[in-house]
Amino acid sequence: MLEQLIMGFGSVFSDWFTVLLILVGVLIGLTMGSIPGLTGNMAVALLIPLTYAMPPVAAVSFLIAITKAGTFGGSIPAILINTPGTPAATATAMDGYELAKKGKALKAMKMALHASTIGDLFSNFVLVLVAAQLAKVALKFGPVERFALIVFALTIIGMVSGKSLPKGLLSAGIGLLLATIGMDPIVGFPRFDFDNINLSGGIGFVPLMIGLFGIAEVLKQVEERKKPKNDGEKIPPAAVLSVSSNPDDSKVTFSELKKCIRTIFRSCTVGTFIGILPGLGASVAAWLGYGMAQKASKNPETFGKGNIEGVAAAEAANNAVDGANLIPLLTLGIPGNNAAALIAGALMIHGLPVGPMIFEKAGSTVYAIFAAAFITIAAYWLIGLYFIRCGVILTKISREYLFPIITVICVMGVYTINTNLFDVGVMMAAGGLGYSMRKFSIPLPPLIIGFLLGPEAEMTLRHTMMLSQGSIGIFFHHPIALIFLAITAITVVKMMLNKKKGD
Amino acid sequence: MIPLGMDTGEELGLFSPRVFPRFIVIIIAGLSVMLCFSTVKNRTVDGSDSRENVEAFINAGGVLLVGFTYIYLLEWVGYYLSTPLILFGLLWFFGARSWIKMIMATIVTTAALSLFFGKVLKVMIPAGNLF
Repeated sequence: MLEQLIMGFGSVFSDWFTVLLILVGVLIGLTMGSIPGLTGNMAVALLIPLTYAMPPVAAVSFLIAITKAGTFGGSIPAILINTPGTPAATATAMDGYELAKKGKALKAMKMALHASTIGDLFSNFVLVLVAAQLAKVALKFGPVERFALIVFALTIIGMVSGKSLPKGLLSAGIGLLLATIGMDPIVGFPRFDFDNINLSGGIGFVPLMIGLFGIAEVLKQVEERKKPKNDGEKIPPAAVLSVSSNPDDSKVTFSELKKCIRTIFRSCTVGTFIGILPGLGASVAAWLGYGMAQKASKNPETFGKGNIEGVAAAEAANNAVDGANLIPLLTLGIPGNNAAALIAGALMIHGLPVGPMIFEKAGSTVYAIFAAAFITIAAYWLIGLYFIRCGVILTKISREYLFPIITVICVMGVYTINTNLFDVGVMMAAGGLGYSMRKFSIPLPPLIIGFLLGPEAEMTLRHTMMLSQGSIGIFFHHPIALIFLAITAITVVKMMLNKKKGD
Repeated sequence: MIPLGMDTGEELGLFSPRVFPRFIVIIIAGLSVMLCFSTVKNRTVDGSDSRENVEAFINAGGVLLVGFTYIYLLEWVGYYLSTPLILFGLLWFFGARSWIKMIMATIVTTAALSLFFGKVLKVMIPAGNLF
């Protein structure tokens, strides 16, 4: 295996075109990921046709570079303007933006970059070394086990609800309810579509996310705009974000990285595990990593107020999914998420089989792709260090120019998803909802978690009930599910005891 | 609202598409009542916060109205006419007062977005139903 990997590195470096494509892919991914509404997946979908004439290794390496860089790219606007560039960066915004408001935007972005790199490296090593064994674990996860896992994931709601658990549960309930709009996942009946064809597919997560974070932030900034006392008075430029004069606030010190390393590796494990299971995705991994970091922290109340560990946890987890979602693709032929599905398409276009046969029929190609993935990580770390400095330009733009321009960019970004203005309307409505929730101190993260996990929770619950003919005894016959439910019960009891102690 | 929002499916019993939304709505309703009681119990006598909040909501509502107007204008008038108008209005609303900077920002943003989305990403820019 090691020899094959070394030969893979050799074959990539011997072809300058592949290396050039990796660098270009990283730049495209960073750019697309950092514009709200656009994602690395969108770039991959648009650019797949360009890869038809390329050699297979070059083509797949290019697409993987875009995906990996795009996942990190989404954290840049999340930190700078509280508008996640990609769904996976919603958890990063919680602490990243608070750090940026304190003048520590560069510190937050650098921590995001380092954590993303470590997360990606971790999952790539897992992919190369133990993919086949981990795929067998994924096969043991049926609907019963997946439901138990999601119930466990829903306990994060308690961790991110802040002081008021009832408000957190209310927020989660709203998210769960919003997720029911559209077609019922089992029998296909329309729900809450009010005979509007635009709602038959449900509410898109990207317009919802940009509205709840980005547009809500624009509405918040309306409160803070300065009005001239008379028409002649000049308004001093008011930069939204300042850059601290303390040089330590623009870098991640070794002691900070050391402090976060346990959190990062915990998140890497979470992200890798979530990535192996098809259907859950980087957003769920990011929130699970964030919630577990908060739970394990000695100062959980500092999360959401500018704790650098929050940024590290979210970014390590969401980037760890990128490598891991190739595991079910290459070993079982099942794409782990949208990005893996697109890469599966690219593999098939180039005549490569998807599934375990790829190792027999094109083993050297697979290891060249693995090598290219490692080179991509190094490339986006290096390029990212300079790219994030471009983002700091935003700190020099005053509020009265920045937020109107952001609004228009968000409108165009969301419109681009389906070239449908209805999505833009959803974004605006979500902006109003997000703003109202802030004013009433109803936490936003539980809504996001409820929206992400709701459909999967409902589908797996109903599958489970169908398998057991309505009997809950089925959980006692599935040990993995039982273990997750037991951990959930212990977590909930501990949370309630801690809250009682705090009161 | 649930029976109105879903035509059928009741005959499937526990597996009905109505069960999950109904369960969520019951929980939301219970929590809402609990929070209402808690809010009434803990309400402050001083009304100054509520006056500021009302003003904040009105301003936010105004921006949202501009947003929905923008969507309407995009559909009927198109991107090239509506975007400069709305962007200029938002700049003024947010407190920008330098006419030259505002015009430059409007033109540059409109052109840059049009180039990026229209030429690079090949997205169909809304042209407006009236033209």
